[in-house]
Amino acid sequence: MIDQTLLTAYALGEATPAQIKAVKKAIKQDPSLKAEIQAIQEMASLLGESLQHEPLPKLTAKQRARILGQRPLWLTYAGLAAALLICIIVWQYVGTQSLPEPIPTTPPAEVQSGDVVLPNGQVVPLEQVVGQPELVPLDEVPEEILRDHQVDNTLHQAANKKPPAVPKPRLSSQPHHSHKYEQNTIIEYNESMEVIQKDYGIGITDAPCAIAKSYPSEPSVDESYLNEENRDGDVDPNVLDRKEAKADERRKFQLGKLKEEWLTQQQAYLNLPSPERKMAIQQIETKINQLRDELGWSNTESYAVIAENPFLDPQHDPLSTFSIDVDTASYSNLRRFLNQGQLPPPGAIRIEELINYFDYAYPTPDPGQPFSASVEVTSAPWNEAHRIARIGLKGYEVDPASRPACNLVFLVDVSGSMENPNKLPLVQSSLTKLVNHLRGDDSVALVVYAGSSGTLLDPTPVSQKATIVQAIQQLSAGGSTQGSAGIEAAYALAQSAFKKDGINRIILATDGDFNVGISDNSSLEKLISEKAKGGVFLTVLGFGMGNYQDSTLELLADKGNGFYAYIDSEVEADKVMVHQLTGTLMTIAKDVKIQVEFNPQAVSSYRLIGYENRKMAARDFNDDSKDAGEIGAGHTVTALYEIVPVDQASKAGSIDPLKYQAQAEPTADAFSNELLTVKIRYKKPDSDTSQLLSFPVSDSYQKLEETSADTQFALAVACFGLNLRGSAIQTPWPKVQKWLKASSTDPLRLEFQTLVEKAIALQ
Amino acid sequence: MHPTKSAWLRDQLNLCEGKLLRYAQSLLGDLTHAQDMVQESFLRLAQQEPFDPTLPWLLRVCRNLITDHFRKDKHMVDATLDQRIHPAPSPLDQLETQDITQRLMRLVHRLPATQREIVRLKFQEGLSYKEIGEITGLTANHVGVLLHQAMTALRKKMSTLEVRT
Repeated sequence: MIDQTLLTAYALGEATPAQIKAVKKAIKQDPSLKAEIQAIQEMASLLGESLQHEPLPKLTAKQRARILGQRPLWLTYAGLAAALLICIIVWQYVGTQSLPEPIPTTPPAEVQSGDVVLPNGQVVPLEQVVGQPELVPLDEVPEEILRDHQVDNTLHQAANKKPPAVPKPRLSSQPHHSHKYEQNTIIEYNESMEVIQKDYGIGITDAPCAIAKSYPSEPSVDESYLNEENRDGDVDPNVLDRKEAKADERRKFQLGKLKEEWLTQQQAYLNLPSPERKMAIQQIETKINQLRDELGWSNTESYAVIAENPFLDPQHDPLSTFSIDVDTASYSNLRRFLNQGQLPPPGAIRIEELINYFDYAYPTPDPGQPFSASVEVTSAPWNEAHRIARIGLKGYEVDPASRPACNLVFLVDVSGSMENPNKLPLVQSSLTKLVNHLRGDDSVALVVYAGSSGTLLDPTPVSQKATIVQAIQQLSAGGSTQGSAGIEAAYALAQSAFKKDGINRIILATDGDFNVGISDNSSLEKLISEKAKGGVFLTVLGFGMGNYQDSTLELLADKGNGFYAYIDSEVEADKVMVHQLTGTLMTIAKDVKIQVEFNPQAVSSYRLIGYENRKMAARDFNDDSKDAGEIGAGHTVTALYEIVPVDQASKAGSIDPLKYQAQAEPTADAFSNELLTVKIRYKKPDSDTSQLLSFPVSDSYQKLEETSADTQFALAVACFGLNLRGSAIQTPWPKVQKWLKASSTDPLRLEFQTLVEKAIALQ
Repeated sequence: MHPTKSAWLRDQLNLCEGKLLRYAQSLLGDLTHAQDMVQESFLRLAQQEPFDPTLPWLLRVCRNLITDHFRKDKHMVDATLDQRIHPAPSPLDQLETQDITQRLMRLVHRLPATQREIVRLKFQEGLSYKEIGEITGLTANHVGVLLHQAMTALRKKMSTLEVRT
């Protein structure tokens, strides 16, 4: 009988040659050992896979800086210049006979770091040698310094980096073992690349604008030079290209500089009073964005691609079905971009969310009905011959004093990327605002997640407000994100304090950078939608910028029967957490779907504007198992259809008549005055069966001037979004502004007017 | 600092920072504390002349720092490494998950401290018995025995779990 320990050692490639012999002999006698060895190896590779998936935590920027002995930027600069000078001096002294002696790591005590020792022993402060480096425009920085700096500090290193030296497998006769080593090598190399990315990105990934992820993948300029010249054999002295490449190199260098500046001064920024802090950070951001744009680098925010809805012919597609969407995140995100002096990426613009950001004075619902539905038909701002059907829903208002009690669990992302003035501090003030407007019989719990997740506060009644606020104030960022563990813990807590007939809700505050730990988004979605069925809903609050993951967050809120808002400022926090608190918290109808049937006698073609990612199959309308959007207390929802009336039909791109089917005969109703029929299905929050609301709509041939100010405003918002995202539908800006002018003195609408002006200026 | 040396240090920091932190965190159960220890380890590395690979060296230094820390800290005299248990299971642990990886990780967490540490060094960092022995102060043979015990326990528990679900 062979020693089992030896078997393990053999399976893991740790056996000595003598031991290998012994094991082989034993296998010959007892072939079942082979299976045993295989089982050990399986466990080994399972362990390897599992453990290597563990997130790699990070040191803080300060700690890193301390290890690397980094000084403020201008000193680093100066230090390099000094090193260069010293190198030249030493080189001159030593002559050609030998390599320069290593320079002592610590300068003599009386010499300030950054000072220059002249050959005669005189110590000169560096400013006298190179002037105030901070003020030297980059173009004037001597080429050598630039190069030198880059050797030390830029990603050339990363891009050109060779895989680290690999230890040779000690027992090459063990195929499993050597294979494992090869694997490790690859993993290690990739990881090292990742760490380097982190290194050069950290300041900025953590800071407002992410540069990191696309950075190292850029070929270094030097390399592209080489390639160019190699390819073209006889060198084409394309001066312009070279100049451009040089300019790019400078830009990259500047980017690196900005990031370092951010790294070293992060703390200083955080200590600034808020308006100045904002200014300072915005300045850096604008600079960074400009450089990035010039370099043609995209940022790492993630947005889905939106394909606009096409015109459909009601003869072939009489039904249009979609889920409602009360999210508003797209608007506040877009506002952030414009205020930063940037046009938003097209994928970040969801027309329905822009429109639904504003309140409209739709009729209040009849008693007993969760919401009212109304339709107005008018002409299209971009084409007077086309009609617009504006469908409006309004949820009933709930008096905050009479709403059901809440059981809320705040789930806060405290990963390193949240350490940023417009993230965690804003999360803290938003949640504090919310707590201040809750009632004594509500309860709040607090869970954080990062590298490890933990419960900071068990469900606590809001009557003990001080305890809750204190817990919120004590939040601090650090560690990498693992969204799934935190979400699971939060649901467990919400379940433990479940309030029957009350509002049970998780409020997730994050920048959505779930990039560590979750390999599997769909299982997370599954968990969220299952919990939503159990009565615990999910509200998602998005914060920050740079590595903001818009599409993931929207999807999570959607699965969790929740609401998704993007908080870019204290003002927005007030809107979501105070003014619309009951709407944010209290769902009055769930799985709300809208289906519109168009009358082919009146409608030549139609298209839904917005709701691109909310479209549903016609058969899903009556299928109660299909999830759809929720409407909160007091929420308004607006949907727009563009309709080409029959008499205006150009029928561009229409379909040939069917060869094997006769065209359906119109019914009597088709010859009525009706344009379309709106059908709405919804469920009461605690019910699993839907109710149907249905009413016909005819065209009263109103012009846009004659419609309500709300419809005019909603259409202007739609035009704005469509113009900005480069839609096929473009409306001249003066027209858009004309319809805005008519609208009220509501501060949010006034702010929108200034946003339109900013967008026009940027385009 | 000499340019090549600073480049070396930066490389090593980039290469080992995460791994070292992960290891320290697994011993301490606390990231902030782990960060302090890892910072100190790298500061010591900065005093060395460049060599390669540094990971085993760093792991050993970091582990010694942690052990020293517990010895110095009078309040934690008893909490030497071997007796430290992993932090209490989170609510996550109570949830049934189908995920084999998570199940295995939970079982790893429940291993005795030394076994847990060896499993990590072996499978997370890919070190040999000998290297693990140098870091933990055990003989390579002893490492082999402990690792074998750990793997046997894990295999047994995984298979009973699989039968139950």
